Amino acid sequence: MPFSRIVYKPEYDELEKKALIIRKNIVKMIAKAQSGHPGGSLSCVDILTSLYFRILRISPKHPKDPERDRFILSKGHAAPALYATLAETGFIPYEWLDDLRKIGSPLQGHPDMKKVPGVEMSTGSLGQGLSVGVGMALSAKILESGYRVFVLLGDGECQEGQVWEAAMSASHYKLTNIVAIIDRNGLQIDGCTEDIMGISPLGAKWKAFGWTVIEVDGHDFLELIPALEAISYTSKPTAIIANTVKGKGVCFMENNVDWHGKAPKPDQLEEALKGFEGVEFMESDEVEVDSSN
Amino acid sequence: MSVDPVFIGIAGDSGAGKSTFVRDIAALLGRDKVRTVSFDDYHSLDRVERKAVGITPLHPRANNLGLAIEHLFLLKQGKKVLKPVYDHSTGSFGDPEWVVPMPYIICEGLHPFFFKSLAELYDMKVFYDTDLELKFNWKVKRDTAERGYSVEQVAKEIRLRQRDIRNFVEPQCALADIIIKLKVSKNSSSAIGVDWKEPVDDPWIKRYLKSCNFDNWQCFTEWYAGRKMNVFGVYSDLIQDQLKDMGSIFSIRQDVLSKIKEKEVVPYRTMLVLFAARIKQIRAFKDKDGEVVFKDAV
Repeated sequence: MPFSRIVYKPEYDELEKKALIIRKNIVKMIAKAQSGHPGGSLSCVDILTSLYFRILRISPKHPKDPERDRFILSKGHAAPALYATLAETGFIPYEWLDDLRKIGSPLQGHPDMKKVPGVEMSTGSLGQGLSVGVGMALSAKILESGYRVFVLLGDGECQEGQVWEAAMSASHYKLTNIVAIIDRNGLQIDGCTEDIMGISPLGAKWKAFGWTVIEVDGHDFLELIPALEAISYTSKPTAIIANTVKGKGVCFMENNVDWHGKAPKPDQLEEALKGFEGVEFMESDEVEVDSSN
Repeated sequence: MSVDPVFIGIAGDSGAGKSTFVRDIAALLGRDKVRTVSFDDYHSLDRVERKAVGITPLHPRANNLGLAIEHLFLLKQGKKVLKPVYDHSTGSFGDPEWVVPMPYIICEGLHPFFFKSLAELYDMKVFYDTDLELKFNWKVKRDTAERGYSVEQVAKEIRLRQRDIRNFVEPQCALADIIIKLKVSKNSSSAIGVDWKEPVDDPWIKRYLKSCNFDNWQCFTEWYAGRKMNVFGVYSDLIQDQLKDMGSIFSIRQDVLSKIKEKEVVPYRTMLVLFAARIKQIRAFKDKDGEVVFKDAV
């Protein structure tokens, strides 16, 4: 497959460093805003990192290039992860991250495509991202354009019926240029996905809908990146089931459903940041937490 | 523990008997230690697209050899890769699968060492050169019985492929360490004769013959693909005695050896054992030194 431009590809250890920086930024952003969703944001960081630094053919200088690859964050509540990644990629300035969820700020609790460069779709109402992605992929096929569409879904999101309608149409139109990545952390807002509305076996479901299914460890670049590159040699749409840990990177948030949508308090932030010691960070390293919120 | 795999490349025309050979070799080396990578999986166009473009799978342009190089380099470094899968029954691509490095990695296909960068990867390169007459008989037998073709149709297809075989597959024999030629045996019509050809100046053969006392092997030299080759006719009566010695040297199980003696196609089985023995020797070298060195043999 021809590359539209030659891109510098960072090595795996470099990607790990980037992921740490992004994780640290997420925790600090949410602590400063005193609201947000740390759990789901932290679980998809490695997926976003491999997409933005290795896979996507995008350039911050040309955010509206019609031939760019599209990435849709269907699980819109993980917006802090997207914002931190966009800042690291150069789409938005670092200073914006300080104003997460503030009135008048471009960075709202869920991504807004009209305010933030690099965001392809305003998402947040779960289940709709894949439908948009299918539309984009279909238009690429009609226009004979080479761009590809990547959609990141949550596993709790797969309980939405609209996801499966979109999945059906993607295989009906033989959209080989779409990838659905499912952030399989096993938890949603009210508890374990299997207790609330069981979605297992998830891989078999996607397979039955006519997709190529690849299961990977969602925190291992050695598995993620080959899986994301595999789009070029399948004749069906690709679903990547990334097994992740909710709240990955912060010890007390890992696999804890309480941290789905809760911001860390100042003492908790301090404890969380201990895990990121030595990680280089954005210029304004001081974070003041306004505890009156 | 990281594995430093022994890479074996087997090139040859489709229908030359590569897959059978690979399966039999895997049985001798131990199935749990062998991973086969078929270069057919690296087709870049599926059957419909190939028909639209008008090229055969034998053409390098119909194959994603760049991806193959990348994957083999990663395997050489001990990393696992996600390999495409080409489905022969449908002529399109299936779900990709993970390939984990194993002690032996056998790459078989039409172009396993088409590029020099690919050729340098292998510890052992084999060109599988089946006699046209034999190949013709096999293909006619298979395609008329299983796929409903007439003999004329099969013959026409074979003729159409000849040009691409000559241009893209056969040149690889110049890079091969061993050329295995299967042919109709002179002694009996049902058995297959095997010629085993090696370059005269190959360091392996000197070392191998010396260590195994195979001096009394019948051998003649001929020029082949611009190189002077030693040609060994592998016939059962020549090396029945040596087979036993070899079994003890390369720890090939006695029951496998006795099976070989019973089989009708003895030269073929003998050749398998010879080949497996040599690959095991490379493995032993790698385990000992971490690298195969021929210095003392040259």
